[in-house]
Amino acid sequence: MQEANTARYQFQLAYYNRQGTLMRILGIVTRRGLDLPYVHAEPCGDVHKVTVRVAVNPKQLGQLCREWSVTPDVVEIGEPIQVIGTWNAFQRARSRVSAKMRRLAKGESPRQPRRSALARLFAFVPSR
Amino acid sequence: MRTGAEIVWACLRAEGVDTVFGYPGGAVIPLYDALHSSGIRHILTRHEQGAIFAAGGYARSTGKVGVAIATSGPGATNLVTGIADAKMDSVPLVCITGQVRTSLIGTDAFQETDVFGMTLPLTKWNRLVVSTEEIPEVVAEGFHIARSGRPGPVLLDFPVDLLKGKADVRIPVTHRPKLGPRWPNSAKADFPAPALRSLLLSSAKPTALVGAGVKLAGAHLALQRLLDDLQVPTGATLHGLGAVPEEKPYFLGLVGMHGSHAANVALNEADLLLVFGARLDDRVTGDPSKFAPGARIVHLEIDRSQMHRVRSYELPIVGNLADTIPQFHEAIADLRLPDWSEWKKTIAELRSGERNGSGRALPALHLFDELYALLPENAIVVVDVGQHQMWAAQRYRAHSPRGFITSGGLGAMGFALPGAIGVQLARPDARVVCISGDGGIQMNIQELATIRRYGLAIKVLILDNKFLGMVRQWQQLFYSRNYAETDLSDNPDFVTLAAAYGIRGRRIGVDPAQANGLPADTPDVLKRFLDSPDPELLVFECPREANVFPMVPSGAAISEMLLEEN
Repeated sequence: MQEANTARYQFQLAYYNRQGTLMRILGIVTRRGLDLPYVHAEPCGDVHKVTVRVAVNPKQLGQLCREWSVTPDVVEIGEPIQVIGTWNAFQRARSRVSAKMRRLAKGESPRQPRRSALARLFAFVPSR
Repeated sequence: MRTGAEIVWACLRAEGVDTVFGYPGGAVIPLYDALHSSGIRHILTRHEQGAIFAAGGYARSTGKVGVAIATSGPGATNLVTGIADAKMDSVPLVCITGQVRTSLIGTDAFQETDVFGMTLPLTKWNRLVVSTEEIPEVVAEGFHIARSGRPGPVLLDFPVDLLKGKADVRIPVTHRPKLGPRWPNSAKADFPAPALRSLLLSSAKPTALVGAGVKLAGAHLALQRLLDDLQVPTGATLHGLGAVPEEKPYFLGLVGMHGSHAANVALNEADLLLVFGARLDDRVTGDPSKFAPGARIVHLEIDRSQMHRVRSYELPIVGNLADTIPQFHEAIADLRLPDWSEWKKTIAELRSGERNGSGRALPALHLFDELYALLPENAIVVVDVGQHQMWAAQRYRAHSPRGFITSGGLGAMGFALPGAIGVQLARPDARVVCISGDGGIQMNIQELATIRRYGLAIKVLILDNKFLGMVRQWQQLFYSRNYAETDLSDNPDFVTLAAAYGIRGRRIGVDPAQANGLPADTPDVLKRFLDSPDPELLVFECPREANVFPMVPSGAAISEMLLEEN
């Protein structure tokens, strides 16, 4: 049963596939008592990407993104996309997330989230 | 060719490690076998939890990475509380555990436990080492992660066969492996000066809150210079104590659940809250939904994941406070600040009107006043968890930024005694006072043997009220005095117990005939206690039902403080 103030989101993250990184990514979800109805991980060029779909409230939405962003070996976090319909019906959205992943697959260097729509989740991040 | 164990020690030496804390066991025998030629001092505690808390004390008092060693299975699991403590309080630690040999992993072998899996959510990073050749790179990476950005604990798990195996490796490693996360570099050009200036100019009731991040960044002097210019009412979190000297006229002391009335009012009524390196956790904010309801929040913090905990902030500034505080100061250098004199006067009047303690707690409060008055500049107090912790914090007079050490986030009873051992070993010049309760001291009392073994002149002060005092206080106030399982009236005689460990002890009680409730010779007793070149133990028999006030009930707003009993 989905809670009233929650919405279903798809997150995509790129990460170096080293010991425990995927478990850390998922643990950030499960420590909040959230179910993980959909997880898919696969290689993506030099890195791996994981797609996670989960029902979160607005506060948890920001918490997840911020915690992932300081997790060692997480190199890119795509913008969350709201899932409309059933968990299975949401397939491979054409989105900025996918674009980022394609860039990574081409071997381009990953980068941290910069000023973008993500800024509202990540707060002020100085450029490097 | 060197053995894996020799490589580990060489790597530790390359990272600048001079002292480690540990407890041997089957899976780390090769490591201990190579210890004698390592050039590193090993401190043998009497329990692995003692080792990791001591490593934590070492790290907290110096800012250097603390190292704790334990064997596989129960040795490793005994580290877990200390790892969680280090994660919560941003303490840089590298924990080294032995593991059963590679071929036995996953077979439920003797003393096998999945410490890697167990510590995934508690560590900043961990690793089960899979080859002797990779040891230098793994150790270098572990130290780098432990000390970079927001510091934290790292665990490295070494199967025993890899410690015995040989490899030809280069130490130190000549490259840093690719890593995430990349911490913000606080570029000056990106500092949001216009937004900050605008918020300051439009505020009528600004208040500052100082947390541990200021001390971790070594930014306390820069912050003091900034606050000296701003002169805004300023409170400190438990770990922020010491960052701003007590004598500063704008300083209001501790905030939060047992904070000063003035500090909490200043926080709650502020229209602009300047937060420097504090997480704004629930012990500081009370009910987050009622915290500082009229305030716009400027939050300077290195850890992005700690942003927006209470609500969405107006101006989050992610970066190293050693960079962002000077940038803040520079941004307002030519600013003509509004007249905040009415606000400052209101808060100053509240502060000066606060009662100097009341009720049964008075003797304990006066004991801390007497103690702090006698402490030298280089003193470090290491405080356990409970009522005495809050009294010690309420009365603390800053001697140095790292002068007040305690388990704040996790609130781990039993921290203080081993923590003090680590502090004393790191800072042999400092007068180290361990302050504990009768509950907490018994959680790691075996470490009195460690104090004796290494001849550490640690002063151990026990406040003995024969209760788990803080829990009893809650039972009294919120559970109709149902003192379920908090009575410790069958405590051992701590003075006799200390004598069994070869440590001199004495006991003082209250004296109702004296105005401060303490025996007239208390200053002399404390002076002898502190001046002795040997370890000493002093038991203060505290009134049994003394309470800590002010107090914000759990789940209430910080404006809903209980100021005193009744």
